[in-house]
Amino acid sequence: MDRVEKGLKDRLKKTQAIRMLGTGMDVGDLNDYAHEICLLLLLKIFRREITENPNRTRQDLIYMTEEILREMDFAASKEVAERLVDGVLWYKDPNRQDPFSCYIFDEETRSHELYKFRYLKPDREHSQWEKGGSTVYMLTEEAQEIIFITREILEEFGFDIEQFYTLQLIKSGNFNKAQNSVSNLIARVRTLIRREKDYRQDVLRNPQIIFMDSKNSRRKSEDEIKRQFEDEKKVFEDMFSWKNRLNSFPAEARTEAEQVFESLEVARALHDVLAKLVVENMAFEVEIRVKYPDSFWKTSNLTFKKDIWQNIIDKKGLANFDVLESLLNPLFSPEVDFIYPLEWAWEEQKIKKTEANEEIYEDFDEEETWQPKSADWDIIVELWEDIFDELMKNNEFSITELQDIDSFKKQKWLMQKKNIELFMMFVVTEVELKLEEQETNDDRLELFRRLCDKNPKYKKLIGRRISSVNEEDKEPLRWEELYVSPYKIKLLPSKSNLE
Amino acid sequence: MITHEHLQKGSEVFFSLLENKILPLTDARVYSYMEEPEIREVVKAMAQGAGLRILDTRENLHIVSQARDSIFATSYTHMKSKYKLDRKKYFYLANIIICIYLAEIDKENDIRVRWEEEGVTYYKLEEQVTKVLDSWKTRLDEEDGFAEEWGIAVEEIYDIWNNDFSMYKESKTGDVDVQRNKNTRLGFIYEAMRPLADQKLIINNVNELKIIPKIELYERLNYLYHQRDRYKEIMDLIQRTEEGIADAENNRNQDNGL
Repeated sequence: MDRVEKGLKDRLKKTQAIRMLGTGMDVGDLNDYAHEICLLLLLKIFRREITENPNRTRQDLIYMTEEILREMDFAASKEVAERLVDGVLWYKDPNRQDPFSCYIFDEETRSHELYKFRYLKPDREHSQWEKGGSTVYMLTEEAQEIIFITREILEEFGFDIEQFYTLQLIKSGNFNKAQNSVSNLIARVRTLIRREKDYRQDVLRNPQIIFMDSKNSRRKSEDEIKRQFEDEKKVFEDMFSWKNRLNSFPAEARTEAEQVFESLEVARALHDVLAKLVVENMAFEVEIRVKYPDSFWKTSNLTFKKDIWQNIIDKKGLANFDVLESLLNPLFSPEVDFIYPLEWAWEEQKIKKTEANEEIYEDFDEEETWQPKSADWDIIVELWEDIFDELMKNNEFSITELQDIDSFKKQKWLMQKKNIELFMMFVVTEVELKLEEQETNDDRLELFRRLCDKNPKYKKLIGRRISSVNEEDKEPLRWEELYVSPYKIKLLPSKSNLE
Repeated sequence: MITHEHLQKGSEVFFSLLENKILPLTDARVYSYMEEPEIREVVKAMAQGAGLRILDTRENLHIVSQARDSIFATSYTHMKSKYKLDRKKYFYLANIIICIYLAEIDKENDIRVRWEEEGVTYYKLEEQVTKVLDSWKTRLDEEDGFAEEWGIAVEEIYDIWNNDFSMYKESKTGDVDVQRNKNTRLGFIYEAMRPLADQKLIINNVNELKIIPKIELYERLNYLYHQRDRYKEIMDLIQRTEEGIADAENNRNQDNGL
């Protein structure tokens, strides 16, 4: 009798997850059907996971839901499909993206504890956030369990039952069902592999979890685990021994059977990977304990959230904001001088221009417009001659000096992007002025080549380096259409001057 | 004994850290840092001289600024330089936004559950900022329990947030555009978080309007704010500033013959 009542908390976690499916949103008339629509959606997403189909972004989910609504013969709008999807992803308000939660009774603490969970979580591997990709979603373990439970294979029995089930199906020649079963096997192993990988990362981040209790079979001894893997390997071999009987099967069953064995091979390979990971992780635990013994007796539970933000800044405030700055400054790494991050420099210039561009195209139909074709070098040389003259005279030139030039000249500057872009190119990295024989891709050197061509006096600058500095105290260059930070380019002293 | 070779190897480590900001422990250069105490000493000394600090975690090696007087700029100081003189209040606001974000994602080490690292939506962050500013404003109006300079700054920030900014602007396609509209709440949040994004401490997902913390951010939070000795440093700093201001006030009062 004990065993029946024990584990109430764990059972509740599973029943609550089922119960709350479909309650994350309000879809009016369809509220009665929300639960089944959501379940079908989870199944479809899971199918895509198993078949390595990464089309599981929110948009894909919406399309799938629209499909489901059609299948079920509901006349519903895209808006309803969106609400359904958002209601599976999050609980209620999609802007907050809250998880689902409920209180469940814990027999040991004899109190109700908050249980939070989700049905879908970001699939980091496939999301490619760093490249600006959309989030791809996958089922959480809670959602997977709903799918497995509803096939009467409970999570607690783990891998082996699924295997035996598959073996039975193969033995009885029921390859159709066997295929599904093997797919689930593969999903199972993948989940377990993911768990091992996650565990390894978690241990690295917080070694103390090695000693925290967990329901995973981590508490088995190394021997027990090795034996378990041996057993599972044997079942695989059993299944494969049936492959020999293939020839005795009728033709139609044969292709199906071949597919099953192919998938089975995948499952077996994955299983080997899993076994390897588990053993590696056990060794890893030991390694961590040896290398970082002090992380196990750390008693500090200070956090920024509580001890600094809540108790100090929010509650009492500081003396002034300079103090706050000192608090945040150490979060950041230094940026190395002279290699001014390209993005900032371009972005300032680009964004202002993009806004302005639209206005210009609207207002000006006649005369000057931006020339998208290849640059007119004559204009560039004409404009930059002045700058190089200045460089030769004063060894430096600030872009802010252009602020008050006459409007005729200003128009010339604004005639094409490259005129100003060149300045930014000089700013971003140092360059040594070389005289190229022919046209070169480096626009700065191309400019220099043409300058020398036009007037040999510039050849005096061969070998000199041009660098830059941001005169932060000055106002930036501001022409109606343009905004550039107050950079100054400098001609560095030649080596002979230094000696 | 620190040999010439240690100096050489140490500089190598130091400068590659400077270039990369974060190096994983699997990197060969970091390996020598971890294995040889002399090299560690060299690197730390160089860092100190430059006003920087080395953080080592179980996965990465970081190099960061000290509280003040580093000779290097950072993406954070760059943001500061954009808002000078009468625009300083924007910098203050950005600081508050960063703090609130950190508070949202920060958790004690042992209760940080994996999926909670999925980040904070722009909307949620905006909500929090509004809440905090509202509560501060109320306090200002009622009890005035804040230090004088802080209080003035809070008024200014509250003003910007509530009166100058609209909530957000949409682009032509109807999506919320946070990159081009600094004078909106969501747009300014984008701006405020940029120093963190530039240093790859967060992923600033502007399509889904979500700010996702990376493990490197947690490593820094852990090092800078979860340790007792660092906490003490911070408290000392705060205290010194308060005392300094109190002294200045006393002197002023004395001069005025009070």
